[in-house]
Amino acid sequence: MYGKMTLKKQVISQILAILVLLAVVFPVLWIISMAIDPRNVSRPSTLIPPGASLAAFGKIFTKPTPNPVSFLELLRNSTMLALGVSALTVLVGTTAAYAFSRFRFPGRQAGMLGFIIVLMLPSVATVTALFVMLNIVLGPQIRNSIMGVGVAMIAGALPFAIWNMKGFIDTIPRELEEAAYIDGATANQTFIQIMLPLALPGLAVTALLGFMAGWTEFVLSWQFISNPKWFTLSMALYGMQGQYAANTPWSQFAAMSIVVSVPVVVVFFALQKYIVGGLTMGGVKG
Amino acid sequence: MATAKLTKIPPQASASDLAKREQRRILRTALIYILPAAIIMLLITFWPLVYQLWMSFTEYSNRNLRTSNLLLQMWGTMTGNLVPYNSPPWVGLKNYIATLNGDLGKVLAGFDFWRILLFNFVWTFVNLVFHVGIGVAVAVMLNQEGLRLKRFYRSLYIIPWAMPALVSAMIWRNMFDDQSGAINQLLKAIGMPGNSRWLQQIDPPLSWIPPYVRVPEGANAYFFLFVLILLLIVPYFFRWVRQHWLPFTLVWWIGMELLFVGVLPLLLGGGSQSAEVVPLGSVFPLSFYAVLTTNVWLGWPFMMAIATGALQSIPRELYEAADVDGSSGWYSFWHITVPMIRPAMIPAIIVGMTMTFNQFNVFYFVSGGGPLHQTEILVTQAYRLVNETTVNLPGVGNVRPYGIAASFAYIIFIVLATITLITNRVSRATETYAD
Repeated sequence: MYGKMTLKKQVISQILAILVLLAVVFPVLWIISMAIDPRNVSRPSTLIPPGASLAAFGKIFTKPTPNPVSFLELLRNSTMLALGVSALTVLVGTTAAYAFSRFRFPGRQAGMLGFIIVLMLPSVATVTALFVMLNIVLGPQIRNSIMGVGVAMIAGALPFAIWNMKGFIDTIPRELEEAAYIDGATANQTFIQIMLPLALPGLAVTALLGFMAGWTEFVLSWQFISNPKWFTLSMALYGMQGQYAANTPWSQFAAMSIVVSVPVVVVFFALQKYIVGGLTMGGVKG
Repeated sequence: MATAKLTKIPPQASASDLAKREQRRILRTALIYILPAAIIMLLITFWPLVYQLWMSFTEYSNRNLRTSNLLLQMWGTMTGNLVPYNSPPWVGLKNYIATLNGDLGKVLAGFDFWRILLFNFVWTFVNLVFHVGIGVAVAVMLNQEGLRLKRFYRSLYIIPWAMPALVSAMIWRNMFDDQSGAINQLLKAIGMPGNSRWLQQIDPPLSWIPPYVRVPEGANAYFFLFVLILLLIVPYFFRWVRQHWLPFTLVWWIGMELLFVGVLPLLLGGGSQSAEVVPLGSVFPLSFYAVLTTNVWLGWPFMMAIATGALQSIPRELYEAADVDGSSGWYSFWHITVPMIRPAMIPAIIVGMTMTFNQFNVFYFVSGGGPLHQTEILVTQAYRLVNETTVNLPGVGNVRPYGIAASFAYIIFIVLATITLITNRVSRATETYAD
């Protein structure tokens, strides 16, 4: 909005901004309150419960679920899944994204259309097919592990990553590559030495989104994995929520929620500049 | 004195030869760059889609999960030789028809295709209005020159977007608990009645909300409501309508309402005695509003982030010029800000639309599709088909209907694809105009 910032405008805006902040932050405060409340209630009545303690956190670190799996194993599984999906989609997808962005070849339009189509189909649609396929091709042992879930996730994550990265690469001006080409660089040299450094923020964002998806994934994991030693943090979180509110260990559930959310939120904040910048760059150019 | 000997100049490659070689070089490079991703995607992304499509035309169930060769299994169905590879029998479009005409309701409790489609559609539309409205409003507010603590607010507002949707949904469900969830406690604290059973109340709270449809008994009111809603919303995608929105709205909306309440029962037959009036508000129980609040909380930061980036690329001179010409803040907003951020917002809206349409987490975890399956959307139904339904197939017994689930997924896809294509076509027209 244009106009000089008067004191009246400043005060009104600050009040509005604080109101929005309260609405945004309130649920987070609620869950923190639930986590430090030792009474295990699902309905804390005050923001700082009496006898606030970190006992719930202790409990989830020692015995997160009724299944025979330790917190560290859960953490390891989640990290492997998230990192695996994220790294693989970026590694494999970057060259494809570059090709779709820079080269004109027959089938390019069809390919882009294919990506959009895949993005629109909910993953519940391909779950059964992947289940059967993984059983046959990789064997039930692998299907029943995070490798199986990883493969299933990549099925959806890879097209999204390519589409996303293509958007980023589209915003990088071609003149730099053309200059390199005139100077005699090969396509590979141009890609590695010019394009990659410039596209790094876009790659980082795509990696982050892949990491978030892998970290919070539990629907596919529940379908594929029945061996407790391969459970992930998200699965444990989901499993904590019992059928009836009375049975759910709310403090532990809240503590686990916080533990599951923290890594994602932290990384998100760290890369915030790139995420917003990258999305808008891709958007502005259409 | 030496004269330079004229040497024979070797034939130069012609321009078109070079161009062709260049083309081939580009093609070869492109192929190599795409190959790894293409192979992986062909195997695990596109092939399951084909398999799933085939499944949707068969009576696929648990038995058919165990097979040693997928291709031979498919071939077995085609040739009718079902035994060797556990092939399911071919049924053609039977699964699709069962979904569309309501037969599916016999195995899937509370299923009414047109009602769910209407619900899904209005859900998406209302959510986007709030997401974009609040997102852009906050972005504009924070974009004011001289405002303090901008970065502080912007980083904290991102939290709902950063948190895993699963966690957020469960927190909100907890907050909507009717006995002492946070929402009711807050209401009590400020003196308002705080005992709404947000997630359990069956009677729709605002059941009078228009538009209305009057249909004779036996006809599916929701189908006509859906058609009516489409007719009311779609015209606004056209520029002419937007420019003359006030007279158009008055005439069109009143006219359409008269048509659907007055003329429709006559067209469909059946006396007006047996015709009942069905308002749109009756489709949305209280838990819908709870889930809406949750999803709006989750989704507006995304739009705010995009709008912020777009706003910062608007040159201030435009506003200054408008101010000099005597434009008010509101006028500047509609005629400078909105057109300038539109190219950035439209892709975001399309992505947001797809994600909201298929927003599984909030419905499953906040309302559980309840009460009594009144807040189901297409994807939650698909999930229930795969995980919670059994169908009694003759000769096989009670099994999970994976074939029907597959056809359901493809129906969802067709709906979403249609909406996306239409939006794309129209928004591209708007974009070139804005340029």
